[in-house]
Amino acid sequence: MATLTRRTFLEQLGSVGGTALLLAGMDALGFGIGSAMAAPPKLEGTPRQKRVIILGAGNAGLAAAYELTQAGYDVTVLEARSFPGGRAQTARNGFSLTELGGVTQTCAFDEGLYINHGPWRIPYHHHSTLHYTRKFGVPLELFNNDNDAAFLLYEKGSGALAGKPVRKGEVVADLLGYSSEILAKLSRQGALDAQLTADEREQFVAFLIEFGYLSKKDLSYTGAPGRGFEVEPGAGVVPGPGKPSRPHTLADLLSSRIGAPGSAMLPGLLHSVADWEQQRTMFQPVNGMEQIPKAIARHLPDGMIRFSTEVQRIRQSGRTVTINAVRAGQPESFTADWCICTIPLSVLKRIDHGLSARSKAAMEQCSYTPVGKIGLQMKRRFWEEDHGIYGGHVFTDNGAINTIAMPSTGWQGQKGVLLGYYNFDSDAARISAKSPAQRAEVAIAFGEKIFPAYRESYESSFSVAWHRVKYNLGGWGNWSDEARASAYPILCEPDGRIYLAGEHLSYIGGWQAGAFESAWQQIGRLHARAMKS
Amino acid sequence: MKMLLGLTCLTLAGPVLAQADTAPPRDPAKEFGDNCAACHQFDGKGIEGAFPALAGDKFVLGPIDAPVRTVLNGRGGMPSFRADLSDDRIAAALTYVRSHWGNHAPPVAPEDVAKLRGDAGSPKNSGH
Repeated sequence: MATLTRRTFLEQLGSVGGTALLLAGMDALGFGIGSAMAAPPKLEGTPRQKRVIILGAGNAGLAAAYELTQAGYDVTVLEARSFPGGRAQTARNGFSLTELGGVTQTCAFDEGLYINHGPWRIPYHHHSTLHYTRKFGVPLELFNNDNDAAFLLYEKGSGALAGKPVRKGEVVADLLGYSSEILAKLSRQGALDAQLTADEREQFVAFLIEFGYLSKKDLSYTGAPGRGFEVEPGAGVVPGPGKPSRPHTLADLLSSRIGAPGSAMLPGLLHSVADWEQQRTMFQPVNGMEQIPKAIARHLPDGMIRFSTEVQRIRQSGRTVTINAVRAGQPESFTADWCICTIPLSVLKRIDHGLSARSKAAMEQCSYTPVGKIGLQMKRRFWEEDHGIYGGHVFTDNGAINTIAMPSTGWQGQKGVLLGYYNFDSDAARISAKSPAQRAEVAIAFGEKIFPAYRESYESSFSVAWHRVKYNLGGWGNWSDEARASAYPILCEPDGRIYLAGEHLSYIGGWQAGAFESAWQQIGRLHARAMKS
Repeated sequence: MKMLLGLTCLTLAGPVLAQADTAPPRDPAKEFGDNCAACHQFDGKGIEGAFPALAGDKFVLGPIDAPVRTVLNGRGGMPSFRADLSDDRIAAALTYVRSHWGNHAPPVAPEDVAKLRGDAGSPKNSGH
């Protein structure tokens, strides 16, 4: 007779309640797989006041529309663009974008090639995003978020490695190898005797030997196979065992400033473990991020989303919410019992929203991050063919570039689209003042320092500066610690009958999961209230 | 030379790099064009409903502390330029803004920026 172990309990929970309950149960039992919501709230019963108007058909608006429709609500979605998804866009042949104050770019990539110029990756623990890909059968592929073979190029330091492309694996192996050597030798010399017993010291040294690939004999670090070979091992006698590579010196590594604070993205991957948001295991939908919002939109009743409809004015009485909008130059008016507004705060605050002075002041506390990305179509996958780099990121300390990302799709095909830069804040402001051709030149002039074939392989580009995109005016919402404490909680509460939702009202800002989970939270609260009214 | 540079840095209170006396003067039009024009536009008129106009704007033409603070710290959708632009470059960009498109306000000196800069840096954004 088996006792009810944690495992059998979870198995039973899973068979009865499905994945969502299983995940919730695992969290409750302390498996700690994530604090994120694993499934949308159960909306039981149908309220009397069931008309909901949703502003915005990005991921937050779509999820709210789908779940509320399933629960019997009468939903209308107003969307300013002619397509669903908000920032979850994919630029492919024919996709057109006109930035404010800029020219119109029409993507001229070859058929089948694309760039996700909005969200582009899904960490494995973003349960909510993965809930919808699973539910609607959106095929996923792995997104390589960490590639030891990819190059780093740091130009602001000094010494032999500054301004020279170095493989990430070499840097990590050497920095952690030397760190382990120093710690192991100090331990043996008794430097840690106040902290560790003799037994613990030997355990610690044994760990450091394994961790840093140290010599068991003298605790020295002289390189590791994982950092690569001068001559790779192979058949026969020559190359036979190959020739090991030699580590860089610690002095060169330190003076190069590789991985030093101030480089925007690398530190998350040079830590002991990947940063929570920068997991090594990530996903992307096959054939573009837009597949997620499109899949949700397909599961809404026909005509529920009113596209190309710009919200002009929002008003509420104690009983209803009225929206004035414009579609193709014609005014339209909608009245509902409730409103879920997913318009980015950067845009909402410029609309005649009629929200309370308190909400208005709180909105001013959220800043929106200027963000730029560029996709570069290359006629040859030189990063794979010439350098053996399959996905992952090149990191740099050049703020205009930050990262060059190799595509995690189309392996060994003929052509591919690289992400040529991913810049933020003042760097994004600076680069976005340039024409599309000048932006491409910035990317190419940097990329060719790493990849000799960069310039000759370049065919066309598609760039975006999110702060200049009319319906976004920024990449994502940003809260200072002070604003998080004072303003953010105000906007998480309904303003009368209006509930705000989106990535900006989550602690998963800038990620699609933030949009989904904010929407789930707000519809749960709306429903609880509607059932009482 | 390296030694000398080290000593110079030690004598500075903050992380701000010293402006050598021999540094070439900044080109105000270039500083504005590179850092500001993407949103506020080359004609200073901004874009209605998105980016404020700088031409004829009371805030821009008023006491210099407020516009200097805005460039240093950012505001709303505008990023902080504290980490990326030296005092003389911020002064040049603001001087350009205060003296074009019909604007007539006194120039901004690098010292005006230096006294408001303080030591706090703004955190860098990271990717999503």
